[in-house]
Amino acid sequence: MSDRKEITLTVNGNQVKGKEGDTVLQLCRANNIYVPTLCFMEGLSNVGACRLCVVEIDGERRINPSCTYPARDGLVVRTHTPNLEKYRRLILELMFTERNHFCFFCAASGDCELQAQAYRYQMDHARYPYTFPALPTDTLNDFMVIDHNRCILCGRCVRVCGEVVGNHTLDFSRRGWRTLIAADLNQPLGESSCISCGACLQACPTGAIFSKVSAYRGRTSEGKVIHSICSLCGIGCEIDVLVKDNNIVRIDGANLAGLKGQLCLMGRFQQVYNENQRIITPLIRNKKGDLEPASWEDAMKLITGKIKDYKAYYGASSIAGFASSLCPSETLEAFVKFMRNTIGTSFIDTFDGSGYRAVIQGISTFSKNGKGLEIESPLESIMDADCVMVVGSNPLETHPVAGSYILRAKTQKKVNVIVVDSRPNTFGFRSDIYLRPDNGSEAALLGALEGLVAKKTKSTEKSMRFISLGRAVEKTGLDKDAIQKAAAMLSRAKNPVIVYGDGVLSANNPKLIARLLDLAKLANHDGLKVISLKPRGNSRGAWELGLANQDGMAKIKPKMAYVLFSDDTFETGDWVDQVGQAEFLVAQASYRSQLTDCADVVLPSPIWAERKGKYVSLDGKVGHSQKVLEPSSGIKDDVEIITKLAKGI
Amino acid sequence: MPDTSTEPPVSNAKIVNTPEEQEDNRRRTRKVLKKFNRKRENLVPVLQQVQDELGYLPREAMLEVAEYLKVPEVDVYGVVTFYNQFRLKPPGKHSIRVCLGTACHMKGGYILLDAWKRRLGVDRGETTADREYDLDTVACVGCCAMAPVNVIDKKAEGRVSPTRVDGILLAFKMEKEKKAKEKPD
Ligand code: SF4
Ligand code: SF4
Ligand code: SF4
Ligand code: FES
Repeated sequence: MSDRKEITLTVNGNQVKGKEGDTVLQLCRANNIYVPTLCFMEGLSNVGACRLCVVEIDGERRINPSCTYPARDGLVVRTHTPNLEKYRRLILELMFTERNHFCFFCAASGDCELQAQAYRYQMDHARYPYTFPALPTDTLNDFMVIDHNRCILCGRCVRVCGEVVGNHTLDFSRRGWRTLIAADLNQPLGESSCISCGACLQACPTGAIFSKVSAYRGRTSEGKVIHSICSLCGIGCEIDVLVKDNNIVRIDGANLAGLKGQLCLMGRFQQVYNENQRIITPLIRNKKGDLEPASWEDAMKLITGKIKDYKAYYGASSIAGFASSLCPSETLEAFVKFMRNTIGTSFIDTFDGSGYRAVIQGISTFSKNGKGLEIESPLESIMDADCVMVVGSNPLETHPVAGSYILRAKTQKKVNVIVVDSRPNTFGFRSDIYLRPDNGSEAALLGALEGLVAKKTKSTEKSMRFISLGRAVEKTGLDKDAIQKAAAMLSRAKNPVIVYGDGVLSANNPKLIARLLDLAKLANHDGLKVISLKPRGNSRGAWELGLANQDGMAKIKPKMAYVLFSDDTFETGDWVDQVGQAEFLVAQASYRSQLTDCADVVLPSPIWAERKGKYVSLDGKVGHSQKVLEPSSGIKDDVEIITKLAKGI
Repeated sequence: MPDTSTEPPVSNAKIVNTPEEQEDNRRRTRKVLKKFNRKRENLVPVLQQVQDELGYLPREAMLEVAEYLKVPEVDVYGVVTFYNQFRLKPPGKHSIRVCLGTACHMKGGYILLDAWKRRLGVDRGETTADREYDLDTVACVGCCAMAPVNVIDKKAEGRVSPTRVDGILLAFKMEKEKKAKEKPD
């Protein structure tokens, strides 16, 4: 875009430069000329709905909204004449009287763009009668309220939901002054196709959409905003955390219209408010079998003593260590060192380690030359794809932002989406083809697709593992037509991307992954495009640190287990039952859980907000999460705890 | 005084189709859809024909249309509520239209509208739960000299007073009772 022609305009008597194709508003903003706006939002289409950004342009008979007016060389523009200011004030008065804006009862008061403009124009009264319309409020969503009384119909929510999230749940209904924002066929938001990402909430300039978990807890001006990344799922969205009095008030996407700005319900809402029970002191199981608060010294002494005992009696390999890949790399590194060097055991694992081992084996079966995770594609490649095949995953549940990349590609670029999952998968209903093979027969389906794609694309690839259509139909229980259609779709595509997730990772089936890679290679001429949706914020970081090389559970029944659980809420009964069988179980955890309930010693661990550290996203990008809260008293840093323990041995 | 009632979008009179009715509506909608190809541009003509077929646009029909044309559900709803020609509620046995053209408005048409709303317990654009009456407004029916005008079952009635509302309703009721007596089943 840099080769756009340079143009020069006169704005308020000064010469300013811009590029052809800019709007007058863009050009003003780029040159630090303030023009008030309400319906404009960076990164969304311009609609010119609010008329607050009007300017006078020589040669135009009327005033024009600058956000939709294309800049031309030689234009003479005025942004702040008395006439314009009068007009803007009039618009504000109309907005205030059209619906019910009584700021003292409003969740947005203090953070409201409409209110801010009213202050700017010193609108202490309105010259029109208030209409007091009776408008409904929709409170059925778990996290958001839509209060039509505050809506100015700017359409930012509509555009962000359609253009950024790709969901298109919201739009205008009815018309004229009866217009209301509606979701789907006018359902309450909580019963609609809304994925509760909260992008519309952040886009809304007023209090018309507000957050149930943040309302009335503080304004932006009362706290400080800390830029960080979300460490939950491996997408690594950029977040702005508003903190007031050492409390998280609100989490916003740092760049709403950017690729990692829309966030999801976990990152935006659940990190602000959840009902987990925090552990704040070390706990030791007493003679009666109950966990009892204890001092740090006692707890540490007990742990180091036990470690020494078990090492002496049974050898170091009787001890196993498990870590959550929600921890930053620094913590995990310290943990690995502690386990490997200090204790001397090689039995360490993460909770998602089996998935890693399947991926790595799958890749080595496929490529045979020692390649690893680097053969995977960046997340953004979804946006350039012309066909996306989702296997064993509902991205909208596990990695909602990745899910919405796919939706966006689908709605905006008409990209075809194929979903393959043996489990019921609601993402299937948003796809063009939804294939549900019988459980365990995914590999047969992929084999048949490979065969068909190879035939269609006249590939010379001598892949050995093709499966005939008839056999696949038999094994998968699927319709012949459906398989053929999917194959046709894949072969038509020039740049298909395959995305797979928990269904494949937990199947413990490297062959399935190898097949996926084969298919991806066959279907895409430019090279293989595959993305695996790794379960946790730092899964890739943990795996790269070698934490998951070894199955910590299968070969030995650990006599003693050390679990760095941190603020994970992973609950798989089986796994907990297995570690629970260790004679001595140490849990380092932030919240009470099934695991801490069966531990012999529990050490409190900080939560994500109380630590900083490095995270490796699922496509290998390094991000840094910041400390946004001071830990409550008694909480020590994970690395500090581990180093202290190491010293004691 | 302007008509400031921005009625809530969800009517108090809940009209719920039975599963059989819904299935029937879906089937008839699909029959209409077959005549069109899956282009977004067809949205309005499709909706018109579905309404011709069903008399209104029930939820299940709109869902079928959205699915068939591959447009977001909310787009269908947006279009349906944008144009006055589309009905979201089934037509009643009797149609009540209150004229709010300039002359009728000046002569108190909105008072009549309020009277109807009160008596029937529904808002404009809605149908009573027993599907006897549907209420809506029109803008000028061309006999302003008789203002305020109501159009009852397609017949214009002039110089209507608010108390006349009860009279009309009573007449319909008596007619119904008479019919019931003639054909007692
Ligand atoms: S939306 Fe803004 S202007 Fe309206 S009541 Fe709330 S704070 Fe005031
Ligand atoms: S929360 Fe997200 S999906 Fe739901 S309406 Fe808002 S932008 Fe759309
Ligand atoms: S809900 Fe908010 S963002 Fe949406 S149109 Fe109304 S004021 Fe604008
Ligand atoms: S910002 Fe330009 S019209 Fe709203």
